[in-house]
Amino acid sequence: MVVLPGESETITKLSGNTDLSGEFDVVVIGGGNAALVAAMSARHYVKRVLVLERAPYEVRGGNTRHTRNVRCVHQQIDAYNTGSYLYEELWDDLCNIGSGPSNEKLAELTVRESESVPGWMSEHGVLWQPPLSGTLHLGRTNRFFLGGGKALLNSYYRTLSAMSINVSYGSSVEGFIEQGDSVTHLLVDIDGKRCQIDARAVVCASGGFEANFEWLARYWGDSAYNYLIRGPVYNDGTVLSLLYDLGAEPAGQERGFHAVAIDARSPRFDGGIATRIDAIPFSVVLNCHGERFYDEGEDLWPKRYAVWGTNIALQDNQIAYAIWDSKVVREFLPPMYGPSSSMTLAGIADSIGLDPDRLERTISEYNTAIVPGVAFDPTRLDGAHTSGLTPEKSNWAQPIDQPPYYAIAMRPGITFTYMGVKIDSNAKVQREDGSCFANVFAAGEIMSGNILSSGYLAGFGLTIGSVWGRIAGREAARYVSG
Amino acid sequence: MSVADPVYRYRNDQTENALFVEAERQLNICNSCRYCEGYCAVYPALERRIVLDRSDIVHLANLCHDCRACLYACMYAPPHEFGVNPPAILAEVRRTTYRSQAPWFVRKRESVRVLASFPLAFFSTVFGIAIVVMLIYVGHGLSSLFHTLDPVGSPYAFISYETIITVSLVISGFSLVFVTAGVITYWRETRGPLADLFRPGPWARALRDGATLRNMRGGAEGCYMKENHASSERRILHYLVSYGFLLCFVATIAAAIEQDLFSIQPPFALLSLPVISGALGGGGLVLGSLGLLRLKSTQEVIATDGPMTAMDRSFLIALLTLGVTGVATLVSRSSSIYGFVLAIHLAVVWTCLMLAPFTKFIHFIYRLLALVQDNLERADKLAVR
Repeated sequence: MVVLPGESETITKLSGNTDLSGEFDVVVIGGGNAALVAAMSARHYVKRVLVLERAPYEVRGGNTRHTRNVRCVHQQIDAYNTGSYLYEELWDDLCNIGSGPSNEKLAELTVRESESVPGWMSEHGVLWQPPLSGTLHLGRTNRFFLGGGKALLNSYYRTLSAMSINVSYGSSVEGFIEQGDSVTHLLVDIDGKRCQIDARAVVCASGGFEANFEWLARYWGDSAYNYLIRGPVYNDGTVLSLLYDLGAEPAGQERGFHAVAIDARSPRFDGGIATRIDAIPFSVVLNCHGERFYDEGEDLWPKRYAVWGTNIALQDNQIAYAIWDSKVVREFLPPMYGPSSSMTLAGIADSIGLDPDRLERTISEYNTAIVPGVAFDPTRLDGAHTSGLTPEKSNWAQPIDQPPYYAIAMRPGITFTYMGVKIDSNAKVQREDGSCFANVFAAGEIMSGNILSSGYLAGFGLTIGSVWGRIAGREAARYVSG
Repeated sequence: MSVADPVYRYRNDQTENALFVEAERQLNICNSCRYCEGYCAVYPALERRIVLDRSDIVHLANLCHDCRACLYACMYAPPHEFGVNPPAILAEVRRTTYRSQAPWFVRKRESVRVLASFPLAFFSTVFGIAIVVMLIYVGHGLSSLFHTLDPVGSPYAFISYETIITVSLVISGFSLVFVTAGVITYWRETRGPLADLFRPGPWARALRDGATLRNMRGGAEGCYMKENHASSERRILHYLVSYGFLLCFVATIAAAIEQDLFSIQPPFALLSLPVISGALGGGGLVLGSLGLLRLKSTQEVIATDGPMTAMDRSFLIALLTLGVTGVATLVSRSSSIYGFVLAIHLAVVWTCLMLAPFTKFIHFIYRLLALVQDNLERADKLAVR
């Protein structure tokens, strides 16, 4: 028994009288989609499976709380997908985003295995919804679970309970004890009490490190402290860093993350989808110097919303301001906290703390640069553009001249990070010397850098988590069963 | 912010009721998220609106069938700092609908308290009317309360058909005036043109939605009266109560037809339509209201609004009393206590009829109107604004 420094009280039983002593076949670290899938997958082969969820019960589930759909290969149209989506098409979509697949072999495996994921999810209690107005544009490629990510988690946790899988909430893994090429014990803090858990195999499905500002600052400098994190505060990469300490080989780019423009007044953590700002294509966006810096009308919004997080992250003070007028207020959802408004541009500048002269000059330059005679059409690339600006606005350019004027401050909202640990095709974690741990597996965002390093494909994070959760759980159980 | 601001005016309008400001805040979060659109009609209706005003919120609140699936699916539900709790806030808004559509003399006098103390109001009214009914019996001598009179088992041995009909029509007329006024006010507020209230297609679909309680399915699993426990129980109990109530109504109409058209006088045979439908209906009322009372006592409090639950309880107690006294009237009709039981039952029926516009009795009317409005919007496939 290893004694941790500063320890006070130890714990051997959970509140539900779950015995934590004795050896567990598979211990899964994490409480989101990949972790739960791994636990259920392992439980099909072995008896004693334990899930260590760091968050308390009320906010269990990591970033999965904020997910909504999964992108899988399917041959047929059915009640939940409006058309077929074949292997080749998903593969092409994957190749066309960011820098493409990081490890082609593992990415191919992910796409191939995705086809059986929806059926597996249904068998494990997940309910679906047909594509409705809010989901229609993704209805062919993506399958939407009824009620979103938290409902998915609730279904999975109920299935876990029915499968007699133990879940320990408020349980943070603080250390691994290694023997040879295996991890044999986990040092866990359970609601402030210490516990040593014996494991025959370990699945790390504990997400990325986006909620760890110090870590982000290593690659982004102090500007990282101005980012807002869209998921829970618990995704601080503790387990990832323990794996690096054990010599795990990194996968994915250090600065790889997904970020969107969100309301600057959003909470620092866990604001999720509701805080995003959809005003950008109908606005001009200024930095803190009152200058435009990126084409607001570059492409249809669903294709561009994910570039704006990084756009703003790269501006001074990591802040930007969308400004629009009364003509377009009904074209997009009002921001959840409401914008500031004024009958004058000077008033707007005042409300967001920009220099009024500079702001008025930028708006007037923009207004006069709009090429007249092109009709505004919010439903398509309308070609209403400016000429002579740097940068231009290529679509939906209308003069900002009809008070009241509106403005909102935006910051980068980080969804997830890509850098994690390298794995083999059995989800085994690799070491820097090229060998693998015998009994340590990884699934979900902690290994997503093996598949993608940059860019974003809606619903594919859930696909990675489901495919690799299933593999990691199964392989961990197989290792235990010999 | 400018006061004349047409779009975001609501948020800063200090004269608006804090409840509606809070409901708008929460529903704006819902509209930015839209994960719940598969659960019921409320969320697609919300998505048809970009900017919410008071009438939108009233409509959405009455469209909500309180299945609570959205609360347990919500990552922004308490303890999240956004504190999104649609079932609770919409129940609170519905309560203002029931209040604001109630007659002026109720509305003016701390109506919440009147409504919440309904069991007291209910039972004192029952008591009062029962005394009056018994006084009517005085023609037969007060002792008739505990004696059988000829013809045995017929209410008319105690109180004349004309008296029953006259009192019932007067009270119905009184209630109908207030319910109609409420319907018109509600419709003007949430929809506008009264002509829209007379389109057969949306009505047919609304009646189907109402009759099947489609929006109580919570998407698939039923109502969540507790976290992690969805079931069809609440929907089935609602069927028992509403169809039970309907069968009691059928029994009354059937009895009237038998008497007036076929000159068959009570007591009706055990295998007659009035007796069978009355017995089944009464049974449904009793079982359904008992079941719903039990469900209310085990529900998770966070998902609802306290005063609304008080209104629900009062309403269920009234329905239970209606069912129990109705069945008792049938069972006791050839015994010596029939006169007494009949007096109580008549008093309960008349009390329910009289208090309907003031209490939760009218909830199904506003739900139905919301369903009509919803089906109008679907039929028009137009954004509301």
